[in-house]
Amino acid sequence: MSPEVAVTSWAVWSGGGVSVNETPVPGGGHGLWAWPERRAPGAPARARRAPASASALVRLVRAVLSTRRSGAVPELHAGVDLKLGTRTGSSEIDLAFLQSLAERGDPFGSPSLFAYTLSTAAGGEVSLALGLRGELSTVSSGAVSGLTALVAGAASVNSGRSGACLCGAMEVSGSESDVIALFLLEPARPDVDGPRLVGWRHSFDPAPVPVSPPDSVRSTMERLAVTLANGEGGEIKASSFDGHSAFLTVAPAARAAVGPERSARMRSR
Amino acid sequence: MPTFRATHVPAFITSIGAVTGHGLGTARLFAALLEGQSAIRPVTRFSVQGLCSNLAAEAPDDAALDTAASALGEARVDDRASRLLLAAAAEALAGRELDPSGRRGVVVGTTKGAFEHLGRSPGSDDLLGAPARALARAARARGPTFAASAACASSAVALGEALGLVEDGLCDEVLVGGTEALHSFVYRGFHALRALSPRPAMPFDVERAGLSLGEGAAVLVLESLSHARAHGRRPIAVVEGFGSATDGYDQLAPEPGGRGLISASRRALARAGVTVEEVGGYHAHGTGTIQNDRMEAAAFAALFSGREVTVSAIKGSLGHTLGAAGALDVAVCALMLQLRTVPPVTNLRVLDPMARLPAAIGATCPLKGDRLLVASAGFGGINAAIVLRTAEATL
Repeated sequence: MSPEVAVTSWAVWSGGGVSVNETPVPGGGHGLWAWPERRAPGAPARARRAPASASALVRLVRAVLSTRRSGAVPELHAGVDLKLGTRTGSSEIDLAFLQSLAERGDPFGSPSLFAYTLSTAAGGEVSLALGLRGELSTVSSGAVSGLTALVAGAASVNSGRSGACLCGAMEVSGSESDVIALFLLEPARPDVDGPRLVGWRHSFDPAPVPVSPPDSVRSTMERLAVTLANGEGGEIKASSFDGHSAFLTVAPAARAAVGPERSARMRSR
Repeated sequence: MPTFRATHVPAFITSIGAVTGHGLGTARLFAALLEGQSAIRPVTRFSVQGLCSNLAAEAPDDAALDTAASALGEARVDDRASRLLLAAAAEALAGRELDPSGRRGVVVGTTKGAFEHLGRSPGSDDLLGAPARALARAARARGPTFAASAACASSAVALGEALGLVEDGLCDEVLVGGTEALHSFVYRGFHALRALSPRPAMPFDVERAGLSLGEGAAVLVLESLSHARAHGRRPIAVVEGFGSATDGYDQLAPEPGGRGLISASRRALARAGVTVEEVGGYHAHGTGTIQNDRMEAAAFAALFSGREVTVSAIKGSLGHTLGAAGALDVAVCALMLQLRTVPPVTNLRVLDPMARLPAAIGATCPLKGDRLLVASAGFGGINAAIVLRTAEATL
């Protein structure tokens, strides 16, 4: 049986802006566009103050789950897995904790800061705020990390190991490459609308052929979102200088394109 | 909850390698566990002045690790987590022909990877993925290669990913493991949390005072049965199921009732297609913090409903190796299944009445049944569980 997994909603947040079930907003400078200044809605009062990147992830997960093409299903949340590709992990928070040790002295590091020195800490904030109770993990494979998360998530949904998986990438290190991208993968059933992933693979070659310009986590996630938004299907390939490569094959949605009430695009600084 | 297809295929552990505070090799590790020895000693690699503990379980130095890893051929690595991993891999891959293969995958769990390179080189900023790439190069793996990170359940989650690769027929064999180096950064962080014990960790003991950190690595070769048979390999144990769940309670503290661990365990059992009555032993995460111990006791009570299955735990002996902990737990449990012996919980003398578990105290005991449930838990409310079975029972 051919593999087939539905992409029922997606969103990309980069320096250019935020797009939900739409073509990503291009461009932008360093960091993500218009960080939320307050805690994302839904975060419980008892949670310690989360870094802005974690709040942004919570906000984007909420957007993806509430704009599912076949209609939002609140009870779906509890079983959703969250698998994010990341190349830089928690490096921004790690550096901040190191800085706090340098300023205060080794015995006086900030416990609140240390709590977020894990690549899964932002995902943990999603679990706290939105009630996701599925598997939470990150995967890392250089510039291919985002695609690797999608390949692993697609395989998991296709095999029945996961009932639904939010896959994508999270790179937040204050650079032009910053991106949070999320794609909700579900089993391909007649009642589940959305484009299909019909092929995927990842591999390793210690002597890769260089590509120009080099792929980045952000460019790969944006290409996938463009392909999904165009509704025409295609193949998304990426490779990294350190040997990782991956591809996804996208097939068009079986039904009509997403309605305007379920898509959004916010742009410009 | 996911529904699992009837085509579920278990994966077989055919080889194991480990590096811990007890030194190089699984034989030394298991012998130390049987004798109840602890590798937790004063830290030598960095200053711990002014911190609430001066203890950790340090693995052999870089030179010893490089010498062990040289059995894999030329393997240039410049971070300690990769060194630990390759030294463990050298044991796991001893005697194997390693032609380049796209059907050989690598999945490595870690929380900090090549952390010492943070901020040093903008061209190589995938620090988490560095050990997995080092192993893929050394083992000439051309299949899926990536790092998995899920706090202290990282390498348990890596094992879940590897199981999927074998189950889906994408790989004939997966080199799966975990690695974590002891960094002053992490030590200072756990000090900031006031989680470090001033004496070696005492999981489930009434006098426990926190956790002890450790470092190490484990590598397991996971294969389909047909591939193992075709190469004349004798399985050590079988990975039957994996499950994971978050508890959504707090970034740092587990939900006291063990909600997440119970859910992860039930998912693992469902994927294995077995009931909890078919499990003969429980291998605890067992960090030695009061929050973890009491959460695990609550989860154990809910899962096993008063059944007297033997409980084991190794962090009083190896320290908490964070991203490597799940792989080391599975490595030890595979040996327990093979040898049908449960080592005592190192440093456990008197059970905490608030964390009552039928733990192996003071002496080894025989393993009941032919299945173990292996638990992992981590920050962010992450929980994972793995079902292991003796190889003989499935052949």
